[in-house]
Amino acid sequence: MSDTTVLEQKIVKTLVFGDIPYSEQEIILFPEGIIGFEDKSKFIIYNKEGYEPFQWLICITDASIFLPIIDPYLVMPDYQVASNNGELQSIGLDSAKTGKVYSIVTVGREVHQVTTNLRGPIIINENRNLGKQIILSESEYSLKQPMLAGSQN
Amino acid sequence: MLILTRKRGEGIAIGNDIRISILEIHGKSIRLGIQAPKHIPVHREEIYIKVQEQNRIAASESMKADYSSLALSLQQHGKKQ
Repeated sequence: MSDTTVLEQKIVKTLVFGDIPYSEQEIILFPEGIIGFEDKSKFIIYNKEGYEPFQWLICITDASIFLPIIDPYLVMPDYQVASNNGELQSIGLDSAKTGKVYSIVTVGREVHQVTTNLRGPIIINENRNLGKQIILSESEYSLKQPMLAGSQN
Repeated sequence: MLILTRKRGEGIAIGNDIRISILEIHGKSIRLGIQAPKHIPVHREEIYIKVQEQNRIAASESMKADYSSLALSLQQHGKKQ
């Protein structure tokens, strides 16, 4: 009898894209969850070819937390993310400058209804697979910045 | 909810590590000083609630979207720029 060890493929079952396989190495830990979902701490970032600029932040323990995200610099090239002193320590960063920044997208039926939350960015420490959502308190950035310039919301 | 009455110059201690100081009172506004460990986020309540709510809306809307169509529109829009 052969002695093969079958490694179970980890899968997160999503409503939108079905079964999404992932590896342990892809898991991003959010020690403080995300705002309003502080108990959800394990996420992956899913990319689907042809669906750029969308990516998705998916909670692997609760696939109902399925959030489209984008690179905010696509919407606002001069976007400034300034974290409050020390607030990124829990994810091993001194400042947001050394992290990867994403914005959570609120989709709509049509493209001119799609907005991004520039006020509450997601910061990822890619070296350690840690993440956090912060609020840019002193900024005037919108929580519902239209993705297309000139869109009314 | 614990309700306390404080005067200017007085403070509140929450646990070992959080201190709130009443710095100034001008008419209807109160200037507060807040000392808390860095891992504890401190925000004006209304912005915290707004971000929380936007996260919930984003999660709820995310299930209904036609991402393929939206992505195509955004890509085409990008090419026009």
